[in-house]
Amino acid sequence: MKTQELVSALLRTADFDGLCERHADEFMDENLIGYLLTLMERHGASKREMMEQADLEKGYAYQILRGVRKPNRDKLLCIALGLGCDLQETQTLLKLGGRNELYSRVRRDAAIVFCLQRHYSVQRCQTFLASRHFDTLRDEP
Amino acid sequence: MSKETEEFERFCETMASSEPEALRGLIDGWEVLECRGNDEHRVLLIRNDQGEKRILKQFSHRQNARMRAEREALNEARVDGIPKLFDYAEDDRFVYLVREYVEGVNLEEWIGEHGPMSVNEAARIGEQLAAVLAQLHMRQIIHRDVKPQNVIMTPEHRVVLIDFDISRKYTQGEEYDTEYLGTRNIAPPEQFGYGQTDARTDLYSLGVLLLYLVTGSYELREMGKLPRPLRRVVRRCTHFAPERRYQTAAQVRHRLRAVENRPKRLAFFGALAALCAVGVAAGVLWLGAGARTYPSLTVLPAEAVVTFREPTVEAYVRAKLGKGADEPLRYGEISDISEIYLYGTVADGQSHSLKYIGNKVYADDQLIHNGTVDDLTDLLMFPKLRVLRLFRQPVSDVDALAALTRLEELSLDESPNVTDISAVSQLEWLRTLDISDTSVGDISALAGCPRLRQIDLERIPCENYSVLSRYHYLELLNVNAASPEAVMAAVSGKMIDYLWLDHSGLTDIGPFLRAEGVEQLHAKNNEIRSLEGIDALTMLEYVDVAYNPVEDLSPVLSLPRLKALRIDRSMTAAWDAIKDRATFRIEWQE
Repeated sequence: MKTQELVSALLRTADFDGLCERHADEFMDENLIGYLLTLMERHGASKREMMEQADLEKGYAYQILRGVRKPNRDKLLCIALGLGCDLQETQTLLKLGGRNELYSRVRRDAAIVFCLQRHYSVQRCQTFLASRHFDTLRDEP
Repeated sequence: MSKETEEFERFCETMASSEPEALRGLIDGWEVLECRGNDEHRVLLIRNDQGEKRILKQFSHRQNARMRAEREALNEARVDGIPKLFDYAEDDRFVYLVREYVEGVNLEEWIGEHGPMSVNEAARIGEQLAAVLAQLHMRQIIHRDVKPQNVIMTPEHRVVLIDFDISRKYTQGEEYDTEYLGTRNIAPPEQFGYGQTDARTDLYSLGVLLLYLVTGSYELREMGKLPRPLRRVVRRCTHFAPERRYQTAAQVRHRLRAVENRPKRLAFFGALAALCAVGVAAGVLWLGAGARTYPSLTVLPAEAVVTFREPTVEAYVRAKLGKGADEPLRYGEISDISEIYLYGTVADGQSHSLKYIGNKVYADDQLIHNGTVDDLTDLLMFPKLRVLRLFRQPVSDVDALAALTRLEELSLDESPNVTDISAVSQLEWLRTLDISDTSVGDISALAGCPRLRQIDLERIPCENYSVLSRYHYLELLNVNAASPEAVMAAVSGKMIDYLWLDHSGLTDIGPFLRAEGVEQLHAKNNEIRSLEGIDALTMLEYVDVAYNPVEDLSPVLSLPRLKALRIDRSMTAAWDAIKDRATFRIEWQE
């Protein structure tokens, strides 16, 4: 099954976990969508939970999952925070998404790494960034 | 200091102290503003206390060849138009290079912000780049990655070529490059195995770059859009065979200088024509040979007193700005207006909700009479217009809209004389379009509006909806009164939040099952008999199936998120059969 077909099946299915199990071998780590699905499975999040926890607008999230939209860096960071990813997972997600990895010499990046390590929610991370006078994770696509 | 802040500061110190020593030696005392890349290849923008900025590049040893190439190029060349090299260091993991930071934006960003350049400006940029390349080539250095992202335009409009990390020294006698590097589209064939790269490699990329600056495209088939003098240069730069290209950057520079001087002579006559046109409301925007011409914006001095052709537009502007009937209106005041709402003859400077009562329409409590606006020339004086609503106006020619390139919302609803919306193709920022109850039969112009999210196409004489295939997600799509085939084509494979399919002759739900993620479904007045299978649309929160011959409503019980169902009295028995199990609200269509 090709990734696109798999994603289509995923969007059609009501049984997300069952589908993941049946096609476990077909998730390719070098593919952003595949990796994202792997992370969702690893952190026990459904599509809807991922969208809600990452504070993602539904249409935007579906476009990412359909592979028709390249998420910006802040959106990927929201997904990582929402899913409770560790730093390694986040860096891989950013790399596969073609975005700059976090680099702790940049103060805002350091603040985000700090939040990831403490498993802050997106909302708490936003509050922390704002309290340090850093740009928050932006809403625009 | 809060505990969290203290922890964060300690965390930052720990992270900094874990950096390699060679790197710390280079950036101690410098603040890192930005970082791009990853462990293999990292680029930092750093700034010291005096505000001076520099670029620090860190490459792993696996990438050492690229770093060495850049170091050699910057060190040896020392020519105008490339950055200065300041420092170089290495340790057992990485090599580091510090170079001048060039203030400005790269040409891709510049084009993204300002749109394609004039031929004259592109030729001027190309000439500068050719001069830089000529100096590099004299030192046997081939850049190999000349592209808009690697050319910085400074605030003084000087260009600087950056990123020499895949540059190489040309060695005569080598037949093939061992590494295929460079950027597809803009790199020539020999960079992908068809021989060794030499100076003519950079000239190929320079040709593609020139094409991009003027057309916004890297595709060589777009070359026909260039005026002949520049087209000749680009064609010769990009010839497949290096021996048929210009042989030196100096030759290209010479040709571009001739191109640059040519439009200057024409520009004199252009300026003369513009002077003659002062006071004339509409100029003409030239969009290339054979392309359609549209009116362009009217730009006047801020203190110029303006007059209007359409009394309704003038009434709106006066109401909006609080100006009396006799007060002069100056361009500087009106050109800031970003929203215009003309509901028939109602033009009171406000936006309104429309209410249909019987056969009358009200803008809130004001009865709307059919409007009188049939000439849109006045709109050319509003360069910042984002929202335009022309409701029930007799206008037919809407070409002036093409000049309103900042439009985000456009409604021409119930303006029945509108047949041709080609001008809409120029509105790339449009998010909302309503052409319901117009006479538009061809919607292909929507291909120029990639950001559309809300499209209202109710009751238009359109047969071909294929242009909608470009949208993967729509907040709203209204194709009321289209045919079942049109509905199928319009909704297939899309995420649509709110979908309107009333009066569309549907006999089954198959066509709209092709949409995904629908939250609100309006499918009144069709011939749908069965709702079997509707549970595939699991996101549905609202369903309107009034005036359909539906006998069994039980399939909607499987919709987990359904909050309301709208039906008509003919479905009373069907409702009675399920109402005990329904967890949603019922609405009756009267």
